[in-house]
Amino acid sequence: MRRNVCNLIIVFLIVVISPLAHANEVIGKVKTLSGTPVIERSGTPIAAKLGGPVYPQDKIITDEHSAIGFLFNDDSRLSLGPLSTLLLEQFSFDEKSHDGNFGVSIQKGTLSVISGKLTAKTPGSLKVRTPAAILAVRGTEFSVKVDALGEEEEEQ
Amino acid sequence: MNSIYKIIISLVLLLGIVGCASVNTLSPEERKSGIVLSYAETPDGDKVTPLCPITETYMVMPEEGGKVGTVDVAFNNGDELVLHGDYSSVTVAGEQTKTYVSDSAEMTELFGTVLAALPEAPFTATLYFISDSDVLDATSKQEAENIYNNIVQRQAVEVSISGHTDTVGSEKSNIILSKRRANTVRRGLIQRGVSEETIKITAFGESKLLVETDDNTNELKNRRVEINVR
Repeated sequence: MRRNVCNLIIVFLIVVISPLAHANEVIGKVKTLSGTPVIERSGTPIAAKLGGPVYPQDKIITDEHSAIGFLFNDDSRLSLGPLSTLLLEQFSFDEKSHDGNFGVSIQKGTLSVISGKLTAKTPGSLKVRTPAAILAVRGTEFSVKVDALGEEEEEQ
Repeated sequence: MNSIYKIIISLVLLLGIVGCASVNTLSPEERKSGIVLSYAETPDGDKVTPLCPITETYMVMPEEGGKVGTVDVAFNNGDELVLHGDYSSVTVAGEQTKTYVSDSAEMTELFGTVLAALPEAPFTATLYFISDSDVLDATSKQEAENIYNNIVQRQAVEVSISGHTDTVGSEKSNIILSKRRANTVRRGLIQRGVSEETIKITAFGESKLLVETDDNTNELKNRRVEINVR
């Protein structure tokens, strides 16, 4: 009897809870990769791999020898250079109407963005947050560099 | 003991007060309108050396096909500006911001690595077929080569192929024909080394006409395969 209850709980955990941890849908995929970028998902670091998915709230981290590029569901493209940290804050995209929002925040490093269908439909719907500002992209391609002062000084 | 603490505290305060220069290079008019023309020249006599090093740089990349890039920037302190046009840039050093028009040399220096990591653009292509056949027509045969070669060199590529027919023949036989057409393209890709798992196929028969026609109408534009590459 007790075992049954345990099993039930386990089944419940697997069926109900684990999808919740991933309630988010895949919003994009890794299309270019060099070095060993890491994707931090729900606090767990995962080695990024070509073709692998990304979800909202994923944090992308590159070391000095790494770079990574993503293609998102709305055809927007985004890449991260070495020594960078980026959080995929939110992504919503309606395939039919092309409505939605895309928000990322860069803590440090370099980021390049080519906007896609979201921005074509609603200019400004793709937003990049930096430590100093919020950039609303009306179209189409731009880059951002953020130096993490404190860290660089420490490293030197 | 006490005096040492005092010195330390006053030093910290001093640092806090001096910090970075809180000079903002936006002129009053620019502040009011919130717009900085990208092609406006960098103000001459800009000899105030920022007390802080540059911590952030934003740059609009050059665009092809006559498109002009635009980015609205809203700083945390409430200042706003618009970057508009190839290479228009802004640097942030403490509270100080400076707009200027950069060039390809600086773009490569600052962003060469990250730009090289941008994935290729996704695209959609259409290939046309001979009537009642899964053989590509002459023009499409040549175009198919270019498309196949493009796809095969892409990393982590995903290909969706949808087959279509015109209204000649029965709906049922057209489903089969459209699938054969999609498979023609699929085979072409696999022969050139594209991995099978990356290719998805859908057969629509005559259910999604590109050109609306009556039944039993020969129409090249409907005898097609659409390829979506990501």
